[in-house]
Amino acid sequence: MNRRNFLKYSALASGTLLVPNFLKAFESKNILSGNKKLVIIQLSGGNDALNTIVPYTNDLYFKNRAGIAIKKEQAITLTPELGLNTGMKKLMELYDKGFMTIINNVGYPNPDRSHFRSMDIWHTASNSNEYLQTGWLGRYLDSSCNGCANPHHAIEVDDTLSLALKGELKKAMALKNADELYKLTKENFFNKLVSITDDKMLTEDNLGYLYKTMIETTSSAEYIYNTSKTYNNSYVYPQTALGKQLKTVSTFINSGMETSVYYVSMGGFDTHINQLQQHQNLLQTFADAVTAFVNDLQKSNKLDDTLVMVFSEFGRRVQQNASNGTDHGTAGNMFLFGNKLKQNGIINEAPDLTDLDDGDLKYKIDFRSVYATVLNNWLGVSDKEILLQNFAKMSFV
Amino acid sequence: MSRNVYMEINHTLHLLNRAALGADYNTLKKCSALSREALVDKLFNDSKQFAPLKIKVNGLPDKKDFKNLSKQEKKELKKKLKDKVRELNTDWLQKLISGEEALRERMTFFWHNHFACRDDNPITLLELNNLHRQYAFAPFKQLLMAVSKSPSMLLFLNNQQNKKEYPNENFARELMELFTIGRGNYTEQDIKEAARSFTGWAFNRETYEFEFRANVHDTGTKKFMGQSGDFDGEEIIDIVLSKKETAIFLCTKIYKHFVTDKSDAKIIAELADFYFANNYDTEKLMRKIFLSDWFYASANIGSLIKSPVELIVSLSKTLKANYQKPEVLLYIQRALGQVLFYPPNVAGWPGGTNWIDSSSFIFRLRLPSLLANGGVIDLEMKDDMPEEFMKIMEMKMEKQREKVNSKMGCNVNWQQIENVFTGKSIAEIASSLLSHKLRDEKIKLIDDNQLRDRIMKILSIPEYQMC
Repeated sequence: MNRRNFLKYSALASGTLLVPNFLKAFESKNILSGNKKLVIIQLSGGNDALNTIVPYTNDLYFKNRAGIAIKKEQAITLTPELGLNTGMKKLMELYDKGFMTIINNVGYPNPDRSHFRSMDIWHTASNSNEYLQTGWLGRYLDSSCNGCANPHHAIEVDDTLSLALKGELKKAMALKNADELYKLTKENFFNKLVSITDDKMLTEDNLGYLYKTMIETTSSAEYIYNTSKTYNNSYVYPQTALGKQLKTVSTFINSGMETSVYYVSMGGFDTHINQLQQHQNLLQTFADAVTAFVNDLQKSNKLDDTLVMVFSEFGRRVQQNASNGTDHGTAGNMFLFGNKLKQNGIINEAPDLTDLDDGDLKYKIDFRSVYATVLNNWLGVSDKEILLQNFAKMSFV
Repeated sequence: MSRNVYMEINHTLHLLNRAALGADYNTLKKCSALSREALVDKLFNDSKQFAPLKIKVNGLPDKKDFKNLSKQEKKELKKKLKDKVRELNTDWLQKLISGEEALRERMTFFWHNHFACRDDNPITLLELNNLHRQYAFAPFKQLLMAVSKSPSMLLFLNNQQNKKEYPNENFARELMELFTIGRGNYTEQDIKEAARSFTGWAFNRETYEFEFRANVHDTGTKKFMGQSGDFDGEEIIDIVLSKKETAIFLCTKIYKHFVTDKSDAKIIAELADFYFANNYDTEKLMRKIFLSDWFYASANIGSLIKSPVELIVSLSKTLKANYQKPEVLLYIQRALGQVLFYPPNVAGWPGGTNWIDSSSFIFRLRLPSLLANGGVIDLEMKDDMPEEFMKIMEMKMEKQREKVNSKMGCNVNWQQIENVFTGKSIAEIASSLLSHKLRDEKIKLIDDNQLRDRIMKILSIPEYQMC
């Protein structure tokens, strides 16, 4: 059999995908707020804020961290008070262009030192004594994406979907690789099931929900596959997991995908033991990947519409432990990257090491104020509906 | 009406799905020869025995020696403990799959979610799990008291730190919000007062046994839910249980887990009255539910989305799957979003449509084929395809099967499964595997020549995700 015949029968054998008609009505572009993209980077494990943005002239810092402090000559100077960890040298390219904002002392009242509980709090934007089952970005989809038929309006580049991206009605999509997901959904049997399903069967009950999910996923997987393949991303990224994830995000953005939120994460920040070198390596991986991403988007003129936000579930204790590491703490710092930042560099005061709460930093800025600002000023949606409370807005965007 | 007569097969399947995490075909067949009452009796009788789950703790140093270990030894121990928690996970999952004491294990799984707890010590974690198992059908007070005094829970909800001078409210809050009465039925002041009553509830760091530390207990007067007195923790629990709202809260949760996630105020009120009047006797409550006609209402049958654990267990029973690599079970749980002993937080797994997101759902649908058929669901061969092409396709598929099978390490005895279903129509096979009746168009899609392909498709249809 020749190649041509082979292809012909292969196409036959893989069945044809029929999108039910009712979905066509929804295939309009940009139902969500304009063209703005938000890229979130999660640093999992509790990033040590004090060794990220280093108070290199503060005696108390050196006193508390005799074994792991970053010396003045090693820190990269940002202000007379604060410097970057040695590993983040690359970020100076962005800092010098005004593409980087650092917020110190970010946290929330009654902090929880458990990784997963604190991560939940950041994901759901709940109070620390409250359990919400939906994530803040999920609620963003719920409230702003009424007409979106498909889940690809927010994408997590991973195998599983984080709570942050699960709403009551809408959920984002998790995928590591557009081709793989496409292949997984391109199953004859599923496609045939989709083709005999009409909107009458998509009732409000749970089974209807499953069929709806199957149809939406199939449709989104096809959309992502077909759209993303139109852009060939030749920009060179570091060969790290984060580098690869961000390259995928860049490809999606550059191919013109209508997705408004992207979510990636990087683990390993739970530095209890011998953290100095290990933490520096982690920050270097982070800095190198982010710098490549921002430069790549600037080059392709997509940076105007893209904001990057970085967080971790908590910072670490001020005093190092006996193993030259640090234990779980409270307030930390957040980064923002983009070329539309209205305030750049370090925008608030350095951590106050004289005023601690049982050895932990006191938070000065509620992380939900940062969320509110991003939702309101960047994505252009009403934050209160999404965060379920009013938070003071900041002015970095 | 339907008492003392044989049950319809979908009623038998419904009861087994909800009360026993599914059943293989032969069990289903045997059970469907029983009346509703006889089957409910059988489920309880089969679970009479309390067989604690055990793990081998050999090689783990005594907890009290922990302090004396070197850094390297501590690191190794931590890894060992982690491995043990994983072992605990797969051991329990395999027990659920085995179908032994199925109803007791089903209830244990319910309490595991109700009293969700995380702890990296496998020994205390197992103790807590065995309390859920031991008191699975007992009066709720016994279970609640035992759990409240378990090292795992005391540690998880910070009651170790709850002392007269610095009360820690964590346990008191979750006791009311999640374990008993639910939001809206207590005040912030009630939490503060209850926390004072639980001061001094702790466990001994060496023996890991509950101890009451009188020296840090607040003996003062507390004003709690309209009463005042020098209440201790047990008295607080008694007061909470004396409120009808607690019975309503628990019955709502049980109804939503075992019957349908759309709550019915009238039925729940009736159940709560009954539970309350019977001193929170969980066995009586569960019997009442499984025997009532509304439990078998067609709107309830197949109305729930299987949790990942329910899916893995029921599917493994159907396939009589034999896992050569238990760690695959961990991998599957993680991919589907529910790992036993790792609830997302103290509120447990949210359940329902929360299980379903686009990528994990596709994995769910593909799981049966991955375990039993090398990932192949539909090898669509058309009669008019050249033979040469069919051969190529078959070879490709065979290769893929081998690859996937060696990865999954799951042995499925197809001969046995096929024997059971030989000679049966698609509708008959479907009715013993699915709670929903399939429409003709769907049956048409399953109309393959090979029995194995038919079964594979029935297991891969979204209806199989429901129970």
